[in-house]
Amino acid sequence: MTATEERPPAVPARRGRRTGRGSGGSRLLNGAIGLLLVGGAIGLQTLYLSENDYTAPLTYVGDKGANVDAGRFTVRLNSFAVAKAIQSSSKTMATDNLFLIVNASAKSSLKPYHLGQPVLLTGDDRRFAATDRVDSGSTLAAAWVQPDIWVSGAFFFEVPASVLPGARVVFGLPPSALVEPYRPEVEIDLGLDEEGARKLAAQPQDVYSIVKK
Amino acid sequence: MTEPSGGHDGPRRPVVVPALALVAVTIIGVTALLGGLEEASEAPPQLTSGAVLDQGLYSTRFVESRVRVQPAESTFAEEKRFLELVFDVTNLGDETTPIGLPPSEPKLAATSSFFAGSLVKIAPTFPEDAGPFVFALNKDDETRQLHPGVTTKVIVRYELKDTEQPPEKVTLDVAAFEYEAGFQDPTERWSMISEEVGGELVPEIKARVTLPVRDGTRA
Amino acid sequence: MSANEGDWFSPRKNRRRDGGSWPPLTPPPSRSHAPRPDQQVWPPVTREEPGGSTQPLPKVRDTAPPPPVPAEPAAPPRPARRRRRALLVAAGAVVLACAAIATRTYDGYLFYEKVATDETRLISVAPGQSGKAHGVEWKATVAPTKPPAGNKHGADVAWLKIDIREKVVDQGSATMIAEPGEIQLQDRAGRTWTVELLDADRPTDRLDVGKEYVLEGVAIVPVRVADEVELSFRPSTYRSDTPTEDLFKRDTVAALEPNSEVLRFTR
Repeated sequence: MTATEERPPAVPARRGRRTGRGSGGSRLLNGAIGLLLVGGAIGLQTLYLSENDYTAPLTYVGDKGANVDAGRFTVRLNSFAVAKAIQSSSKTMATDNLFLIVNASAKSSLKPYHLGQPVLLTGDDRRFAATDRVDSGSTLAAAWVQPDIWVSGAFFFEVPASVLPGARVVFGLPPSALVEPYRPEVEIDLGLDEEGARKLAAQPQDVYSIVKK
Repeated sequence: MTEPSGGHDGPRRPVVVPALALVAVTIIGVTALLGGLEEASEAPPQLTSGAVLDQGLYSTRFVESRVRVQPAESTFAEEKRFLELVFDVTNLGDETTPIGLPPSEPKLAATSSFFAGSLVKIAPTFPEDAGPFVFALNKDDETRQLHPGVTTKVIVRYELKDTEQPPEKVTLDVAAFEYEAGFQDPTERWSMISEEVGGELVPEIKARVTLPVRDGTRA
Repeated sequence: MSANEGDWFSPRKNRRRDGGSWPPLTPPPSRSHAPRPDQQVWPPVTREEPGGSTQPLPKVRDTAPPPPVPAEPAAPPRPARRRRRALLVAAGAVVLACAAIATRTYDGYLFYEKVATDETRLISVAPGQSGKAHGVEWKATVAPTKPPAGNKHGADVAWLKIDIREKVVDQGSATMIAEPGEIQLQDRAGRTWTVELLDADRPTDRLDVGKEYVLEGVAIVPVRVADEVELSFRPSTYRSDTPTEDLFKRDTVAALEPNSEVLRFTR
């Protein structure tokens, strides 16, 4: 009812386009664009982080022998070995599987920390905690990791030989009561393929001693 | 549903969909009124020594229940007798879990996500100072970890007093686990299958296991 | 060309809104009479943004000459405006996404701040002087010491001996028997190193007023900062007469004297 309700029949470009839009070709185009948008939305949905992912730590990945800086601390995986038994000052512990002994060095950036017990991440993403059969006082976790001072020590896993190919070691801070997202962790690939893992597992040390001299 | 006019290409009347929807809504409504599709509660299966139970996170063989005598460690100490429950537990999950402890109170039973926590009720009950002590044996060495894909011998034991006679049998109510988001915490994790009854979470009993006690000292 | 075409550039809803509630002040000219088509007066063709106003204006009388609206310039604004709008929407989306992430992060940070950091009131103590906190006087020295035999560190690590002396001057603080917490060495850049206290023979219920108690500790720092690191610690306000079973009760913890004081011994 405004003065604009009536239009002369012949008007400019815009009108032409609008009628054109109604035609088959444009409809098809719109449909295609719609499908594209829906596809995009579904695609984006797959990127959605579950709560587990959202609270997951930030992982810094590196190779054996390299200093991997995770911000708060830096870790270097020096070497690893396998053994059929571990000798402590009080007893000798045997296993049907293998003990994997990982030798690492660490320092921090700003504050003193203790490292937590690491996790062995297998090729198929299963997580083996470091064994509790070796007292954590005998591991690198017992040492203070401080700014500019490298400390070295060992960590101990007990794993079946079958999980060695593709295995990675994940170092982090000990669990804390405070849930903090994006805690740093360092993931270092042992660099073991099927062949390397078989060779390693075929010749384990009989006894690895952790007795302090 | 459409008019049977031959060759007439008129718009079909959408009758089927609303009709189906109406039927579905009615069925759902009636079902809801009758108490839903929940399974009628039935007695859990009865198992005994040697049986294997899938607990979701663990596959557990109930090996046996036995009396074990631990010789004196020194000339001053006395020998100890234990009632032991033996399990072969395979961790089916993706990560190492602690063995845990059986619940100290029935009220807390549903909070555990560890193996021993699924032993919701152990009958008969033992005095508080008798245990339970829970550990796993690995080549005669103790551990409290269950590694993924690895079968571990788990021992739950109670100390028996000097003259105490062990029970004839031990009955366990065993629960199971599922991987899902928490009640308030959206993080997904393993938790005990349970339901809320009167404001409390009560574990669902997957099996009742009766283990006759093998008593080498008595025989 | 009449101004009528301008109507195409106004959003539809405007037209409807106007038409719905406001009858035109002049009767609409009938088609048969109309020597020329209507002109749009509302919304204004040129200056009004879409959605800018809902106020209808009376139609300009027919007798008035139509405002000269050039047809050519009217056409180009459309794509430009559209592009601007798209840009605006895109920018808005980005801003909103950033705001959502920032809010969550900031909330997490506030929570972390609240939970993870203690309130701190720093008390600087000049060399050789003593600092007082909670009725207790503290003195401390940091001195180089010989590396123990068989240690694993090289020449780039300096070993320091820390000597802390504690004297209760206030009778009311005699039950504050606990060792201080957060004993650390800090360099000028703010990096910190921990101090390991050696076992000390200390009373477990009361400290004697006026008596000096010695706490000894050892620390390692990089040689480069060995001369600049300063000792600091947070004296504990725990009292030995706090019932142990009350320690985990909220009321007890709230009633504790806050241990916000941190002593820093400058060098």
